[in-house]
Amino acid sequence: MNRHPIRTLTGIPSTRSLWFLLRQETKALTAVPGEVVVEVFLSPLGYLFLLGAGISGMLAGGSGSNEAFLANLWFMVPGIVAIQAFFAISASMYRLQADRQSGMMAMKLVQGVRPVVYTVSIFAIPLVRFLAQVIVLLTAAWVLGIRMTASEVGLVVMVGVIAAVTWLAVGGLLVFLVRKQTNRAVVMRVLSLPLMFSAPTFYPLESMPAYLRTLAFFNPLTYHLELMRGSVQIGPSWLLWPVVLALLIVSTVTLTVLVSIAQPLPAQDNV
Amino acid sequence: MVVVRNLSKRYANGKSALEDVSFTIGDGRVVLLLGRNGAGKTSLIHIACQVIRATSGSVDLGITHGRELGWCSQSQMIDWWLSVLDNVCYGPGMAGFSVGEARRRASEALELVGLQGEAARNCSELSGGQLQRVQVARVIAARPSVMFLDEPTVGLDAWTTLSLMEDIRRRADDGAIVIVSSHELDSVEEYCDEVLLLDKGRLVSHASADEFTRTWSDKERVFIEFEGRLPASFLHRVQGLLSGAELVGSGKPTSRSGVVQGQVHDGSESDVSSPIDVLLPAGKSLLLLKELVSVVSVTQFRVDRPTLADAFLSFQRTVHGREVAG
Repeated sequence: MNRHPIRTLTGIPSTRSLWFLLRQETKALTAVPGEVVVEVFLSPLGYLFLLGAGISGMLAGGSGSNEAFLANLWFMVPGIVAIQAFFAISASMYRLQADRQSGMMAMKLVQGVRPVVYTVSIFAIPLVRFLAQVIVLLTAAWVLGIRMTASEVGLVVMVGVIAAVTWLAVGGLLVFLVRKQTNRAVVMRVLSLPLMFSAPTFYPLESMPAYLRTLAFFNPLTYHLELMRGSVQIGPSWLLWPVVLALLIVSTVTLTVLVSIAQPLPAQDNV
Repeated sequence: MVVVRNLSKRYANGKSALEDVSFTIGDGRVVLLLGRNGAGKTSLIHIACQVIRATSGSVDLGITHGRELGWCSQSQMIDWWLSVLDNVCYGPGMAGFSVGEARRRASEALELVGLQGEAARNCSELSGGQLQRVQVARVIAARPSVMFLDEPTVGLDAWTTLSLMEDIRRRADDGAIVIVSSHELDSVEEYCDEVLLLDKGRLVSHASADEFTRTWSDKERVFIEFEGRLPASFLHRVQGLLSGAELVGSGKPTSRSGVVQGQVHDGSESDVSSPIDVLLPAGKSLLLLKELVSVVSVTQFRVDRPTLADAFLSFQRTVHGREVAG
């Protein structure tokens, strides 16, 4: 079904409209500097130093052995990257919902902005923020003694970006598929806990009970995590690329579905 | 040229918003889209702006590019994270102007709507009227060739309304088509060329503003000030003369929308105090004056042609009877 026959007007060239929208989005999402600091610095560092380091120490058997602690931290860091990517889901829901409800999305599309350009403009800043979080996280991990090669870092970042884009798109889909804000909040609450904790974020898949492993099997976060861990354990092996490709396809399909159903809404009190 | 053909809109809940609406608007025209709440004005604008789909029919705006279309919603289409200036920049920015040019045009538009001093403030700090001005400025700054302005004068003071409507008129004189939906008829009357009247989703009139007024109000608006009070017996005496008259206001300032219903000809026993604002059948005003001077000292007597608001109210009374009262 063609969902966009309604808009027949062309817009300014996509590169130009994207540039302008990115500028506006940057201003909007950095309007509160304190929020940026919390998102970029405190969130990843909090997970690393308060949760990751704590669990690593516990898994090291409380022996105080630096080697055991570091070995477990190697396991934790990709988990925290994946968690930060997962949190992109709320970033896209937050911004898309506000843009759609206020009629700004309608205004932009009426002016001829293509849905794909609109989607990219909405997702770009959360994606940049995610990259900044990864840089902060990897820098802190380096300070703690985690030494990754450039290719390992590259793979972690690439898989992280694929994961973040997937979750951004899932967040967008929730905005368009679950129309009522109250219902969406319930759906998000119901989804987020099992998604975060049925994946091997802070403990290995093998240590999970059978029912949890079954849940993990259907959880996309599991594959993001396993791929990132595989990247730092075995490096850029050709064995990883089919999984990267599969995740890329999932991400692309999710984004394509989102763009195809992204319909504007007149400002809410007009409906 | 804007061409609307056989446009119908039925919402999912079964409510019909528009039924077989067709009209054509030539370049350089300011058109007032008129109708009561729920008449289908906003649905028509949303379909024309391609925000919602029509159930059937078509709209040809005579443009191919989104930057040629300006849309000011009656709801607050505002990016709450951005400043006033950045919100207005959306207009020229999306129309393809460079950032510097967009800011210059946005500043000019803000000056036009009297918000130049608020440019740096966040939109969340503004009042409802100021937010409407931000939206109007966004459209004005983009200089589109087809504009849909839904209640653009709401919340504007008289001076800003005048500046805005003069600017709209200038743009129309340069060839733009401006379709204004407004309940503030006195503010826009002077500047509009045509009237589109929607009633329960149907287009019941498309005429020049003068023709519309003549069609729906064959009465003169008479304003009378006098000393003392007119006794109820006088009203009985001139009952025949006042047949078909509509009292717009009596004894107190006339509310813009409040119609004081027909004590003039329904045999009310109460006296009438000065001033009287009444719509009289054409040609009867001088006869009334003659009768009036025999009982009171008339200090002011003015006869005006009926306004769009008079014609609109006459239409509502003619078609819907008393249900429009109050």
